[in-house]
Amino acid sequence: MPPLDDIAVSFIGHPFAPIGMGEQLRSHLAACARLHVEFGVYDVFRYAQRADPAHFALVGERELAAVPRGIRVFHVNGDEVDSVIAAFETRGNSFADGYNIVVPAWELPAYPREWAARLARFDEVWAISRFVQTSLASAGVASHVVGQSVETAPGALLPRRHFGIRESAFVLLHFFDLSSYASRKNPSAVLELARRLRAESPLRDLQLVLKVKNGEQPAPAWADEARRDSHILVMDAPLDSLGVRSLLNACDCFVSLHRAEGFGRGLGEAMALGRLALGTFWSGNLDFMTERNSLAVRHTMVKLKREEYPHWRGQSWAEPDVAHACALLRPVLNDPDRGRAIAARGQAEVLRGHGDRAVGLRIVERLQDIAQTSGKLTPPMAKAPARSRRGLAVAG
Amino acid sequence: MATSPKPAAPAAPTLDRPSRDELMRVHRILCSPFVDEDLFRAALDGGRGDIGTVGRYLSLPVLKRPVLSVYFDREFYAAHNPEILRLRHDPLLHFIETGAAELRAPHPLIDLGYIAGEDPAILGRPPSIAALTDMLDYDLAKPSPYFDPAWYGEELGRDAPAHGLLRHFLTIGLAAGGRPNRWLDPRWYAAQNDDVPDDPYAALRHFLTIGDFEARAAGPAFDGKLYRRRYVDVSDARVPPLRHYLTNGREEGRQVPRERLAPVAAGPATPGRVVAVGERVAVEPEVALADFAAMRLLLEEARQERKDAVRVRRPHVVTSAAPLADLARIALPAVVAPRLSILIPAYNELDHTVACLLAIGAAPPATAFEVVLADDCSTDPDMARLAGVANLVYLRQPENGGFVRACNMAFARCRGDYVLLLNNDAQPLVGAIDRMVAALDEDATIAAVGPKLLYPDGRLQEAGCYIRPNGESEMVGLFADPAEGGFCRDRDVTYCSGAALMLRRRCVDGALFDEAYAPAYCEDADLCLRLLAAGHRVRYVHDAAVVHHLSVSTNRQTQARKLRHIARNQQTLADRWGETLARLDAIRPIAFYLPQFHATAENDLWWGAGFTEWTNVVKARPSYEGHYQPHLPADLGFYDLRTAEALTRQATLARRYGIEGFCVYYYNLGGRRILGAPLEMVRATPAIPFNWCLCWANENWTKHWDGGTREIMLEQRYDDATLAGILADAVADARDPRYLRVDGRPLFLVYRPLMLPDPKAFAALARAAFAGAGFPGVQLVYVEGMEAVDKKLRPVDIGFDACVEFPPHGRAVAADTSALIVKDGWSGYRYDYPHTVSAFCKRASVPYARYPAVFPSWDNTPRQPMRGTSFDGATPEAFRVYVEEKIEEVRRFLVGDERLLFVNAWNEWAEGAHLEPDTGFGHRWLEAMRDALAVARWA
Repeated sequence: MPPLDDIAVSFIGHPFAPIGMGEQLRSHLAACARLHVEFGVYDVFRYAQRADPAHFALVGERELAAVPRGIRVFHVNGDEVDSVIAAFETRGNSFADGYNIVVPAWELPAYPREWAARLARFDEVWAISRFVQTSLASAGVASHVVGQSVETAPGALLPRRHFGIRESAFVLLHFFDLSSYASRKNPSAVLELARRLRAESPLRDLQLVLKVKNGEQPAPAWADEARRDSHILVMDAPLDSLGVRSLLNACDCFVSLHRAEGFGRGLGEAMALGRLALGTFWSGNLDFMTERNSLAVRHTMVKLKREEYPHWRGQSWAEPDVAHACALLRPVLNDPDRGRAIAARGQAEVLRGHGDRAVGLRIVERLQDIAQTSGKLTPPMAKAPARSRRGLAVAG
Repeated sequence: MATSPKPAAPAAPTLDRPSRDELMRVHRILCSPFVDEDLFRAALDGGRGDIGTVGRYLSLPVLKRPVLSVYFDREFYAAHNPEILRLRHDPLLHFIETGAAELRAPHPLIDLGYIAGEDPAILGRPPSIAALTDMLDYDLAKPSPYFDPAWYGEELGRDAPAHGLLRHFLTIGLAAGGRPNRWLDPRWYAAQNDDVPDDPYAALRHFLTIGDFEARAAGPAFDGKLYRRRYVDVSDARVPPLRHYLTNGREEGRQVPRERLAPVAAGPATPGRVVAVGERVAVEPEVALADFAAMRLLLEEARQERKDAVRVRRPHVVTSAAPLADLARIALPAVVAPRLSILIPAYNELDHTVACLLAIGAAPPATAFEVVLADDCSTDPDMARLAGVANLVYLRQPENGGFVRACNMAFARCRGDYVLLLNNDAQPLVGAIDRMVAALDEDATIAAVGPKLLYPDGRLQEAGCYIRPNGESEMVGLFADPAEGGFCRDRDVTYCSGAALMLRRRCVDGALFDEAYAPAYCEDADLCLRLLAAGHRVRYVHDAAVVHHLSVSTNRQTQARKLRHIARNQQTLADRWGETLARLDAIRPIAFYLPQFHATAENDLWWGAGFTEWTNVVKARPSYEGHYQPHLPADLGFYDLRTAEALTRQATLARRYGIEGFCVYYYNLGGRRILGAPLEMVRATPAIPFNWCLCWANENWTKHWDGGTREIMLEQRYDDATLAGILADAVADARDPRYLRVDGRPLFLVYRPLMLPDPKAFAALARAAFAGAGFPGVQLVYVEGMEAVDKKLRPVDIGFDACVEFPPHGRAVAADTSALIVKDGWSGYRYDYPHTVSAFCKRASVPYARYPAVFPSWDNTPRQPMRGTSFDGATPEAFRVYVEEKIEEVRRFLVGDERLLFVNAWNEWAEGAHLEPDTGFGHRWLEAMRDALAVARWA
C-alpha cells in the first residue's frame, strides 16, 4: 500500500465562499496544513468572489486546475451533489478515478433520504459532528466523525471601536442569516433574552450585537425594531475573515439559542478565542460544549411545523428555555470572574479537541486508513502523473 | 649658523637642481602605496620607476606640484601644519615620510588621530603609510567620524564598488551629489551659507574645518545650534556638534535636532494623525494590520541579528572514524555497585555510539557508574560487536520497537540510584556528569536534572525547555550563545530533553516512559510532568555541558512523517496534561500604579488647592504635528482615589482584561507615609477586588518631578526609624489576603535601590521584619530604572531576590523622522516606540531573575510642556506584539509563581503611560493586553 505522502489529496468545494460550507472546507485545509499533509484545492463552481486575504493565505498556491487521482474530499451538501459532480466532470475531471469522500452539512436529526441516495455516489462520508453522524445513520449512511476546526488564524484583531461596539458594555453577540430559515437560528429568542435581562436591571451596561447576513433582504418587523433600540447594534455589512474573527473576539458572550446546529461554528470559534459561549445544549455543538466549559441552555424537544425548515416532516428540534438562559447569564453578569473562568476552560477544551491539530490528526488517521485499505489507491493511481505537475508529491 | 636638518626630517627642499641623493630619497617616498600610480602617470608623464619623473616633480614650485594621492589635500595639510611651508617642505612628501607616523591628518576626511583612537592596531605600530593605505583602500575602518563607509555603500546600492568607498566618494560620489554620512549634505550646506563656495568638495572642507566648529547646520537633518542648545555638556565642551553626535551622541541615544529645518527639505513626516482634543483616534484596519506586521518584522529582524551575531567556539568532541577499530579503545571501569547508570539507547550509527563511549571512558565521572547500552535491534550487524566491550552492559531488543520501548527495557535493568539517559549522538563534556550527580546529591526535592546542551559547532541547543498549554515545547536558548547570562544560572524548568537527562531512579514510578508515546517524541516531557505532578522538581544545571548532534537519529525518516508523529504526541501530552500545563504556564500581569490622584495637604500647599495629576494632564497640548495630547480619561473619568467607588472600578476593569493586580507606589517622606489614602480605603474595604504589592518610591519630591536634588520639597530619609516605619507599613499591607506574593512571600519592590545607603542592610532588615511577622519571607525586587539601568546589578549582590525591567527607561531609541513643531520654543525629545520595543526585546538575558515589563506608550508632556519626552508610533497593535514577545521571555526564564509580567503603567497619566481608557484609544491598550494573554492560553 502506498504511504500517505505518495497519494494526492484534494479538497473540493467552495474554498472562497463566505458561507458555512466554505468555512468547513477551509478549516480542513488549516488542519491538514498543521499536520504537514500536502494537498490541493479545487473550486468547483468558481462563483465566489475572491476578495478575502485569509482565504488566499490558506489556498494560495495549492489551487488546482484539474483534480488528480488519489483521495478527494468534497465539502458539498446533499442537495448539490449531482450538480457538483456534473460540473466536476464537465471541467475535465474524472470522478470515477479517485477515492471520493463527501463531508455534507445538515442540521436536523434525520438526514433526508433523497440526499442520502446521492451521497451513495461517494466512497466514504465524513461527519462534521456526532450529531450529523447520527442524522446520517438514520438515513442508512455510515460516516466517520472528523469534525471541523474552530481554531482561528493568529494575528492582529480589530478592536471594539472599529465596529462601534460600546467598550464598557458586557456584549452579547448573535449571528444570523436573513436569507435562510431564521427560525433555526432563533434570533427572536436572543432578543427576548436581552429584553429580559434589561428589564431585570435597566441600568446594566449590556449591549446586544446582531450580525446579520444578507442584510439586503427585506428584514422582518422585529429586526427593524431592533435597529431602533439604542442597546442593540445591528451590523449588516458583510465582513471578511479578519472582521468576523475580530467581531467574535469583541464580544463577552456569544449567544446561540438555536433550535438546531450541524456543528455550531460561531460558538466554537468564540470559545477558541476565549469568549464565553451560551447556547442551546443540543445538536452539533454538544461535540465541544459542556456544562462546565460554557453556558448550556436547557430545552424541550418540539416537532417542526410545516415548512419551518427543508425536509421538516417528522423531525423535531430544540426549543431553548430563555428563562434558563437568563439564569445562566445572571451570575456571570454579577461576577465576571466566573464567566472568565468558564471561558478559559472552554478555550482550552475546544482547542484541544477541535483545534487544527486535533482535527488534522483525525483527518490523517482516516487518510492513512484509506491509503492502507482502499483498493482504489493501488498503483498506478497512487502515482498519478498529474500530481507532480501540481507539486503535490512530497519528498520521500 | 646654518642648521642642518635632523636626520628624520625631510631635507630642506631647494629649487636648485636636486642632488642625486635627494632624487633617490624623493623617489623612495613617491614609491609609497599612498601615491596613486594613475595620478602620477597622468601628471608626470611617466612611471615612478623613471627617475626623470621625480626630477620633473621636484623642478616645480612646491605649491604647483601635482597632487599625487586622492587621499591628500595639500592646502588642508599645509593649513594645519603651517611650519611645513614655512620650512618650504613639500607637504605630500612630509606626510608620507613623517606626518603619517605622527598621526597628522592628510585630508579633512582622514583623521588619523580618530582612526588610531578607535583601533590602535589598525595603522600598525608605529603607524605606517602602507597600513593606512590598505585601511583606506579596503574600507577596513572609518577614516573619520564624518565618513561612514557602510552607509555610503548602502546608499550606492548596486553601484557600490567592491572596495575603496572613500576613494569612490572623493573621485566620483561627491561630485555626483553624494554625502559622506546621513546628516552632512555639502550642496545643501553651500546653498545655505553665503560664505561657502559652491564646489561640493570646498563646501565639505569648509564644514569640516569651520562650519561644524561654528555649530552650523550640516544639512536639513542636523542643526548644530539646536544640538548645542539641547545638550549643555556639548555646548560647554565646545566640541563640534556633528562630530560629537557621530562619535558619541548617537550611541548615547541623543536626539538629532532638526525639526525647524525639516520643512525646508523634503517636507515633514507626520508621526501620528492629528486628533482633536477628546476625540477618538480612528481605527483603520489596513493601518492596524500594518502596524502589527511591522512590529513583528522588527522583532524578527532583531532576533535574526542576534542569532547571526553569535560567535562560539567549537567544543572538543570525540569522534570515531573507524568505529570497529576503536571498540578496543573504549575503557569502562568494572563496577560492582554502581551509583549511576548511564543508559544509552542506540539504533545503528555505530560511529556515534563508539564516540560517545570513548568520551565517557576518556573522562569518566568520579561516581561509581555502569554503562547500559540499549540496542533497538539495529540492522547494522557491526552493532553486535559492542557486546564485546569490556564492562559495557549490552542489551539488544529482539525486535525494533522504537526509542521508548528500548529505553524502558534498559531502564528496568539499571542498578544505579541515578540514571543518566544519554543519546548515542550525545557526549558529556568533562565534568558534566559529576556536576549533574552533585546537583541531585545537593537537593533531595530534585528528581531530574538536565545539562546545557550544545551543538557540535558550539552554539546552544537547549538550556531547559518549556511547554505551551497546547503541548508544544520550546528549547530555551536554541542557537544562542551558551555564554549568555540567562543560560548561565541553574533554574527549575518544566522539563529537560531526554537526550541527556539524569533521573533519581526511585522517583520514577513504574516504567520510565509511557508507551503511549512510542516510538518517540514528547516521552521526556511526559516523564518530567509526571515527576512535577508527584511534587518533585526538574532543574537545569548550567555548568554541565553535553554536546548533542540533534536529529541525527531521526533524519532518515521523512520530515513530514516525523512532524506528524510529534503532533500526535503533543496532542496526547495536551490531552493528558492540559490543565497542568495551563497551570504551569500561567502568567500574572501586574501594572505599576500611581496613587497620586487625590488632593493632599502637601500638594495643596505647594501647587495650589485641589492639585492632583489631573491638573497637569488636562493642560497638555501637542508639541509637534501629530503629537497625541492631551490624554483625557474616558471610562473612569477624573477620579478621586479616596473613594471606594473609583478603586472598585479600576480593579474591576483591570481584572476584566486579565491584569492580576497593581504595584502601588509607596511614599514615605519626612518620616511618614504619604499618598496612602487609596490603599487605606482598599484595606478597609475587603470587597474591592484590588490585588496589590508595594513599590517603595524612595526618592525626594522635587519641584521638577524628577526625584533629583534640586528644589526638594520633601526629602527621602533613610534613618533607622524611617526604615522601621516603612517595613512596618509593608508588613501591615502584606497581611491583607489580596496582597501579591511569590511562593507565599509578599512582593516588595524598591524603585531606586542604589539610593539606599546600604541596600544589603536594608534587605536584611526587611527579611527580618517579614519573618518576624510570620511570613515565609519577602520577595525583594529592585526596579531597573534610573541609575540601576544596565548596571547588570545582580540582585543577590544587594541582598535582593530579583529585579524588574522598567521600560522605556534605559533603552529608548531616538526617532529618526522629522516633525513639525507646533509649540513655540519647544525643545523636547522624540523617541520611536517600535524601535524602543525592539531594543527591549533584544536585550541579552541575565543570570538572575528579571521580571520583564512592557509599556503601552510614554509621554511626559503634562509635566514638561516645553521639554517633554514622547514616543511616536505607539499603537495598540505594536503593544500587543510587544506583550506577546515578553510573555515568551517570561516562559523562557521564569517558572511558577515568578511568572510575572509588569506593565508600566496602569495610570501614569502625566507620563502618558496608562492602560486606563482615554478618549483617543479607549480600551484598545487593554484589549491588546487581553488578546496577547488569550493567545498565550493555548499557544
